[in-house]
Formats: sequence, C-alpha cells, structure tokens
Amino acid sequence: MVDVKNVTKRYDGKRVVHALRGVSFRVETGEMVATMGPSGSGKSTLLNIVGGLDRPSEGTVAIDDTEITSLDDNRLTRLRREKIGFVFQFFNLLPTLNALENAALPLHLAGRSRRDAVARASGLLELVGLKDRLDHLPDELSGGEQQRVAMARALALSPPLILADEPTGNLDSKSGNEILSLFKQLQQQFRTTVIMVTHDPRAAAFCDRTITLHDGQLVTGEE
Amino acid sequence: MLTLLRRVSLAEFRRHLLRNFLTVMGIALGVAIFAATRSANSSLKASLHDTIDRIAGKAVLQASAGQAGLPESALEEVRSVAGVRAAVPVIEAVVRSADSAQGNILILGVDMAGERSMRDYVIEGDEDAISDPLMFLAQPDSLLISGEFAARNNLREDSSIELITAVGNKSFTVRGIMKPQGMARAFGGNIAVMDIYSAQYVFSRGQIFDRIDIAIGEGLKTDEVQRRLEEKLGPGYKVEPPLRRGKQTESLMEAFSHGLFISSIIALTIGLFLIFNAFSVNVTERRVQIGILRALGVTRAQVQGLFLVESLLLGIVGSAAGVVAGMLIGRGMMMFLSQVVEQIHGVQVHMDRLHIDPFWTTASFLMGTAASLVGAWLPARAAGRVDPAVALQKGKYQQLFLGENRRRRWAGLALLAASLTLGATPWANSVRIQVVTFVVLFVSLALLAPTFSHLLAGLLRGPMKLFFGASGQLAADSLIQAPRRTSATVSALMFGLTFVLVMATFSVSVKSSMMRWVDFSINPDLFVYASNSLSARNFQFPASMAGELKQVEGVRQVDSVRILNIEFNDKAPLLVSVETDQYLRRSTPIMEEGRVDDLLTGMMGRNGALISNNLARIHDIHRGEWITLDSPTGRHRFEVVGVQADYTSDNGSIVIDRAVYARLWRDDRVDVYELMLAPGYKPDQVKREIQKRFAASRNVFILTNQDMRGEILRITDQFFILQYVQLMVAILVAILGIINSLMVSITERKREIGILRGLGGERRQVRKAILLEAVCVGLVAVVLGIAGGAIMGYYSVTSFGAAFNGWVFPYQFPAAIALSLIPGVVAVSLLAAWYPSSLALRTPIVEALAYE
Repeated sequence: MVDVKNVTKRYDGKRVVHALRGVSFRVETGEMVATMGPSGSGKSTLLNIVGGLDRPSEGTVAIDDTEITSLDDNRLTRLRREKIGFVFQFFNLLPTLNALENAALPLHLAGRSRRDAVARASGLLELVGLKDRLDHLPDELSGGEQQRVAMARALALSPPLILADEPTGNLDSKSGNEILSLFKQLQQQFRTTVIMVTHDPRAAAFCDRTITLHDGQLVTGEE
Repeated sequence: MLTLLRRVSLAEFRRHLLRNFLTVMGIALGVAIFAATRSANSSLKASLHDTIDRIAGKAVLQASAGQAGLPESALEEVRSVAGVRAAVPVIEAVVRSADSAQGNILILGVDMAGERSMRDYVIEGDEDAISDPLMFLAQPDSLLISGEFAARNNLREDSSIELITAVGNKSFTVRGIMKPQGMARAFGGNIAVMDIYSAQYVFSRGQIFDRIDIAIGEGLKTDEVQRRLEEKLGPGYKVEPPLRRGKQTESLMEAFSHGLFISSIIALTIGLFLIFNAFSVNVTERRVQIGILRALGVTRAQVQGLFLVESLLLGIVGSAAGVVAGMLIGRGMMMFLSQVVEQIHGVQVHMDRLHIDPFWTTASFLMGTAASLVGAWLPARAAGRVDPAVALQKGKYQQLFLGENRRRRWAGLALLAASLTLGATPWANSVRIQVVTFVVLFVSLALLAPTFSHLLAGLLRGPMKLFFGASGQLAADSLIQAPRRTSATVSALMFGLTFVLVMATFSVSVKSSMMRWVDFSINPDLFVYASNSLSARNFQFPASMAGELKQVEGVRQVDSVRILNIEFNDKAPLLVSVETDQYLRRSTPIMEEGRVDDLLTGMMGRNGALISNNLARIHDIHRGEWITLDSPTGRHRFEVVGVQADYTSDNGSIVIDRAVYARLWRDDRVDVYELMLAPGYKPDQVKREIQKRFAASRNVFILTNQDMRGEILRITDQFFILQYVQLMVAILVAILGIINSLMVSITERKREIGILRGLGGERRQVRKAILLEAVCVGLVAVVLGIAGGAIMGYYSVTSFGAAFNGWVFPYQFPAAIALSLIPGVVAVSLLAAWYPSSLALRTPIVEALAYE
C-alpha cells in the first residue's frame, strides 16, 4: 500500500536542518502502524510527506503503486482527496460548518451530489456515535466528539489510507481510548490502512506494529 | 514603550508591508481630498481678498448701491461729508480680450482728477518724463496695463489690445505699463486702468458708477465717518470697508463651499473605517504575541498604548503623504473651482497660484492623524483585554465570534429614532440642527451596519451554497465568522456607495425639478445677453435697444429683463425686474403660494413681489407678508404676492415689475432681452438677423431656447462633477479596504485554507471560495449602500439641502444608477480579490495547517 524509499527532508535556511535522513519502509494494505519517536524526530514530517502535504528533498513515496512525489499539484491534490484521509491532533474542523457539513466536505469537494454527500456523511457520523449531533458546530462539541467528526470526515470518500497525527494528543485519557477503539473498529470494518503518529504507548498498543524514528532516521520497524 | 516599538512593532511593520501601505494610502487619499478642497477654497477667497485689497489702495471705505450702481450725483454728496479727505468714483469690470490667449482682464475705470490720492501708479520707463501719467488716460482709447500682463503678451507702449465690450470689440492703445507692485498685481496681474467715462461708455453704465472709494482724514475714526456717510446717502446705499465686499461675495458661494466641505469629510471618514479594519485584524493576528508580552509583564495599558502608537505612526505617514498629494491635486481643483464659481455665481477670480493656508494644512494633517487614532481606538482597547492564558493555548482560539453586539444595535436604533425625531421638529430649518441630524443619522447607520451586514451574510449562505456548492458556502461563512472585520469593510464600502447615491438622488431630483421649471418658465425663443456669461453680467443694454429688436423680422415680443444681486437679510438673492404683463403672457410660474391670476394686479405698477420658494423658506416669508428692499431712492416695502418655484439662485430671487424697478432704482438698463418669435420663424434664422443688425454697434450674445436649456443643464452638471470626483475617491478608499480585508481574511483563514487543500480541495476551488467571499462583501455592501442611500438621499433632498439653500426637491430615487452599482461593485470586488487569492494559494499546506 505505502512504499517509502530513502526519503530525506532538508530545510535550507541560515542552518540546514535535516528533518529526515534516508527513511525507508513499507506498510501493507490493512495494516495499522504507529510511528513513534521523541519530539523533533521527524514523525509529523514523515506523515506530511506520505500524505502529499509536503515533498521530500530526496527519495520517493508510492501509494497503491502510484509514485506521488513526481505528481504535479493538481494530480497530487486529487490523489489526496481520493486515497487519503487525515485526522489531526487539533481536529482542524471548519468552525462555521456543523458536524454534518464538516463530515461531508470532502464529498462536496469531490463533486458528489448534495443528497449523496449528506446521506454518506450522516451514515458515518452515526457510525462514530454522533447521530444526535449532526447540526452542532465544533465549539458545541467536546474534544472527543470533534475528533469523531474528523474521523467521519476522513472516511467520507472511503480512502484506502488514513493518516492520523497524534489523534489523541488533545484528548483526556477516556476520550483518547474511545477514539483509539473507534480507529481500530473502523480500520477493521473498512480494511483501511492506518499510519498513526503518536507519543502514546497505549495508542501504539492498538496498532499492528510500530516504527520508531530518532533524529530523522528510522531506528526500528522497517517492515 | 520604545523598546516594544523597536523590537515588536518594527518587525510587524516589515512583515505586513503591503497591508500597511494600503492602510496608509487610505488615510493619504482621504487627507489629500480634504487638503486639496480646503486649499482650493482658500485660494478662491485669498484671490478675491487680494484683488479687493490691492485695488482699494488708500480707500478705507467704499460706497455702493449694489449692482445697480451709484448715480453720478452721489459723488458730490459723499465729498460733502465731514471727514472725507478724498472720494473717487470707480467702475470695475472683468472683460475678455478678443485674443483668447490673453484671457480675462480686470478693468478699472478711474477718474484722473482724484485718482492719485487713492492709488499709487508706478510706471515703467523714464518716470521723470511723465509728470502725471494719468494724463494719457484722457484719451478715450487709452489703457494702462500691468507689467506682468505686458510681459506675458508681448505688449509695450503704443501696442493695441482688442477687448470684447458691450459696444462691440474695441481697440485700445497701451499708454503706459505699471511696474508689477501694489495694485498692478491684482487679479494675477491681469489688470488695466482706463478713464472712467470711457469705461461708462464701453461697459454701458450710462451715468452710473460702480462705487466710490473714500479716504478719510488723519486721526479720524472710520466708524464715525462711515456713520455720517450712511446718514447722508440714505438706506439704499452701503458704506463699508473694502474687504466687507469680499464677504458678501463669499456668502454667494456659501452653499457650494459647504457641499465641498461635507464631501471631503466623507472621504476622510471612510479612511477611518480602513484603519479600524486593519487594526482589528492586526490585533486578532497578534493575540499570541500579545499573550506572550502580557505573560512577560507588559501591562494592559502598555499593550493598548503600543497599538495606538503604531496607528499614530501610520496616521502621521499617511497624513503627511496626503497633505503633499493634496497640494499637487489642489491646483487642478482650484482651476476647476474657479470655473464653477464663475458659471454658477458669476464671481470672477483670477487664480494661478494655490494658496496654502497653514491653518487648513495643519488641520488636514491633524484630522488624518486623529482619524487614525480614532479608528484604532477600539481595536487597541481589545488588544489590552486579550486574556494571555487563552491566547497562549494552541487551538483555543478556533472559535466563532458569538455574533452581534446588542448594545451597539440598540444604540444605533436609538440614534436613528433621535435623528428622525429631530428632523421633524420646528428647529429643523436651522442649518446647525440639520448638520447635527445628518451626523446622528450617519452614526446610527454606522452602528447598525454590522447588524444588517451579518443578517445579509446569513441570507446569502443558502443561495451561495445552492449555486456554488462548498466554495460558496465557505465564502458566505467567512463573512459570518468574522463580523467585525467584515462589517468594517462592508461599512466603508457601504458609506461610499451611500454617498454616491445621495449625490445621485440630488442630481436626479434636482434635474427633474429643474427641467419641469425650465419647461414652464424658460420659454422665450431667444435670449439676447449683453454679457457672454449668464451669471457674470458685466455689461447691460440700453433700454432703447428694445425698440430696435422689435423691428427685426420675426420678432413678436420683446421683454426687457434686469437681473442683479442685492443684499437681503445677509444673503445675496437676485432682484429680477420684468415687464409683468408680457412676462405673464408667455410664461406660467409654478406657484407654491398664491395664484398666477393675482400676479398681474399685484405686481404691475405696484410694489408687489413674486419671491422664489427657497427665499421664502430661508427667510420664512409667506404670501401676504411684506419685505423691505433698499434702493438708491431709499427703503421700500413690497408685498409678497406669490411664491414660485425658481432655481436660478441658491440665495433666492425676487421678481418685481420693471417700471417700479426703474423708478426706484433709477436704472433702466437691461441685462437680457427675452424674445418671442412670430409663428413660422426659426430661432437660428432670427438670431443671425439680430447678430447682423448689431454687429457694428455692440456685442450681443444670443442663445436659443435649446441653447439655454443645455446651458442650465451643463452648469448643474458642473456643480455635481466636483462632488462626484470626491466621492469616487471615497469609493477608491473603500476598495482599498476590500483588498486589505481580503488579504487579512486569507491570513486569518490560513489554517482553513490549509485544511481545504489538505482534504483535496484544488487550487481553483480555493480561489473560487476567496473570489466568492469578495463577491459576498460587495453584494452585502451594495445592498446596504442602496438602502442607506435611499434613506439619506430622501433626507438630503427634503430637509438637509433645504436648510442650506431653501430648496426642497421632490424625491426621486436614482434607480438606474443604483442598479448599475450592483455589477460594478461586484466586478470591482472580484478584481480586488485576485491578488489576495493568488497569495493564499502560494502558502505551503503544512505551514497553513500549523498556523494558529
């Protein structure tokens, strides 16, 4: 599913910062993989590159045999829309859209009809336990509820790959556990590949395996 | 504070150079318009005073009888008054040279006998050989010209100049050239001196002087001599210091000056919104920074002070730039103003140098700076109140505004009610009350604008979502999400549009009333003028010319009309004398009080007056009441027999019978002959005939009825052009606000844009959302602008304008202009959004997502 080969990321400024140094790994379809490491190890950078939000300085990333690093912006955007779902630490919901509208947003962007988008989004929100919260705005939802909306949104277009950056980082332990359980459940139900960046060993415990980064290099978990 | 400014503010200025530039431009434009208008106005007054002052010479008093002039016999009466050392008669007129390149020339007709006691003449050349230069002027075709005029036009002694006079084009010979000092510099140096009796002839004055200049004995009090002269001459005459005459002329232009002042204040006010907008967003953007500063020990007051100092610095830069720009555009405005003033009010001034009034220059600078501080006050206060704990927590600020400020809404409604109530009170006729009412109405709309803006944005959400999908919805949501930022932009544009519509309402309402009035009142087939300006009537015809005109084939009726400005209750209305029976035979006054049928018996041969509607309103006079008019034969009472709609003068008009005028004012001259033609005769044909007949003996300026209507419209349009120019600048300032606001919107919504891009939103979809947001801003602003324009336009034509010039026009909403604003504003909004949208798409997604 995901094939990362020799990915390097440098930031050229007054000083050159090596965020990633020759990272290579594979993730198979249906796997749930935790990416761990101390702060500044390059976890989020790696996730951004895998998700096509950023480009590597060297190396390649392939998703479903499509090498994304050579795609132009428009094709990369379409790939991101169709094949990748994102769940962020700070939820990143649009504050003026309610839960249903946030969850349906990727469907609208993909040009789906309003009826289809609403039906799909409602179903996903029901799945994540927010049937009674469809018309609530983000600031009317708890942190856990907001993250559920984000997860519903991530699944809107049934992407084969979900990337989650510290999904429980902004939640209390109870909510965090609920979210992780939900992740597992959905991953199994939809056979989605999940790559999760986390500090939390409990989150890593939910995953099939863990890859560890340190100072931009892969330390463990190549395969 | 200096440390904060250096370390914090400077970095912020550098980061947002473009935004700060746009903000400064907004202030600069507002200040420039204000400064330019004030300078042009000051130049007009300064030029007027300068001419009067220079020409006055040693005269401390001047006796006159208005535009009717003084009979020659008055001179001896003046000289006989104790304390009068010298009294010399003067005729003063502005004429055109036959060579248009030479322009207008102010001619002073003087009596050589006493002139040297009044003014100094310093002649170029061998002065020893000229013992009394004025002896040259005994020859009727002689002129003394100024050195400046001579140099400009390559003239020397014995050169010829051809002038357009009442008695045809006449050639004059230069007998001497005055050195460029004192009087010779009046009217920009375009001044010439001739013998007074020659002047009486060429200007058709008959045996009339324009005024008598008076010097008094040493040690005597001017007031005392003035009192004696007034007693001697009687009530029909005025005795006053020279500059007082300038004040009278200024009063003619009062309404126009007020209009200019108000328009320029509007431009500045809109700049104020720009500052408010920019700083509101600035505070929002920098809340983390503020939180850090507060955590490090900077007090609330210091934070507030920091933002105020930043706005002060921007205001200083903008105001300074505005003052300089104002000087540059002031010259153009000054030339335009002098044309308009001549055409509307008949006041001819020579303006070639912009007079920089230190008071108004300083005032412009201070107003721009103050506007900056006022605009930034609320945002700076908000900055001081930022909760550092909330500001420093990542993710905590991703909240919607809770929406409208209820207090502001109630205040707006209360002020709206107050302004409507005030406008309906008996005091509403007072100019001061009208200004207060206008300002209160303006402030109430400003306070209510955010409420309506929010409401409209909410209404737009559905249609935008329906027609444009997610992009449309997000665009409308952006307005709702940041009501303060959006409403400031919307308010700025809204006010600009409101005032465009107010001017349009005025223009449409005035024109429609004028055209109706023209249809009823301006119905002669031909107008034969002695002067080539309708309002600057320098020349008159003799009464005998009526007989000659009657003999022209095709002429059925000849009406002799005399028009002059008189002083009446500190205003300068027109006194119009007509042959009542002929006048009423051909025209039907639009009566507001009284009946047309009563006018003939009330006016013909009697002291009856038909007054204009605006005069009636300004002075609160009604039919059946009596007014007192001063004439050279004393004070006379006239019964008001009717009030008519008349738009000739914003000071009003008084129509009386010609025979009565001639008897009481001892003046049978004619300014214009109004001719009715016999059936079958074409106006152009008769016009040519008249021109041929009088070609050898006098200059006649003939307008057909069509020409006259066109001229009236042209003069009306000219009046509005200057106002429109200023308002367009105000709109430009508001457009800068849109660009600024959209750029800031991009910054505020960086994270959202990153989310959209991260979720698979393509560049074109994001650009579409931003462009649609601009369209939403434009649409909301134009709807509110039309509503505001309708309310304030109605108020302006029915109440506000009436307090200044007495006219109440039937309200006509300028529908065509209002509708044309919609696509115009939307198009401009789209253009304004292009650059900000391009900026937005350049931001890397990861950076956008990390943006807080």
